[in-house]
Amino acid sequence: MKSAASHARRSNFVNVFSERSIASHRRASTRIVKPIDELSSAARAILGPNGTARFDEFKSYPQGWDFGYGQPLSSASIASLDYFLALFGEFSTRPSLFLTRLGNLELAWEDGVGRIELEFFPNKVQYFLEANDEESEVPISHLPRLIERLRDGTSRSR
Amino acid sequence: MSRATCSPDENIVRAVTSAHWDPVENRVSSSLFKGENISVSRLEILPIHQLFEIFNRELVKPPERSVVGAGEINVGRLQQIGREFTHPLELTVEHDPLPTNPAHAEIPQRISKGLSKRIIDDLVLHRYES
Repeated sequence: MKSAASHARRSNFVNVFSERSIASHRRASTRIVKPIDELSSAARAILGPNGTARFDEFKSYPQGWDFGYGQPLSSASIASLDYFLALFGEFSTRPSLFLTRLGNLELAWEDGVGRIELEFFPNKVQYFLEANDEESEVPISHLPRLIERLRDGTSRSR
Repeated sequence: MSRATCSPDENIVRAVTSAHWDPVENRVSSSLFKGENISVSRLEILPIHQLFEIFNRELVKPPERSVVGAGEINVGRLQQIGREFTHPLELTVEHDPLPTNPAHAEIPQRISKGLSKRIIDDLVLHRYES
């Protein structure tokens, strides 16, 4: 099995982003690879005051925060979430922000047919679509395809 | 050596931290039970208020971090959820007492997010009041 990272390196961004301008694609690509310590103001606006407060709290969690096992918040995960929120902001309910034991940010919300959860790794997104009982992952470079599914309705297309 | 297992009549709790529970939106992350060797505690051994003391002692606490609650479920109900899941799984809760928590037990099976979500839907949440 090939790693998600090698898959991401081989993927064709131009095809994936065929309807986006080269300029915006370049901006997006840069944001994927460069870890960041802060969410953009646009991302904070989508998360709202509660999500933003939770993000700020998670930044203070040290190594071992989860009964000795939790990793500190990953800067690369922040960048992945920020990139996602730059592409997708149409939540039917205000999403919740969580921190996983691996130090990744996780978003959860409902779309009318079930829970959606996305965990943002540095180079991939693991997703759970309750309506399909589907749990899988996509490389960051294929995130627009997952977003298409989220826009179409997760239980009706694969 | 195999460990003793909890009876279906027992109730167990899983500590819930602020990282896993968004009280404003009233959501618990499915990460709470995802994975294997999930730590739980047996209410037959210690009452909930003593378990909260243990949970708080064991956490490495930044200023704002805390145990915000505990999710309770009956072992028999947990096993029923596992058996009725799309991909059925025979769940067990095995005794694993620790020096710091004599009520400690583990669910050894690998739990998916989907199954975790089903379990969470059945939890009774006890909010921790410090």
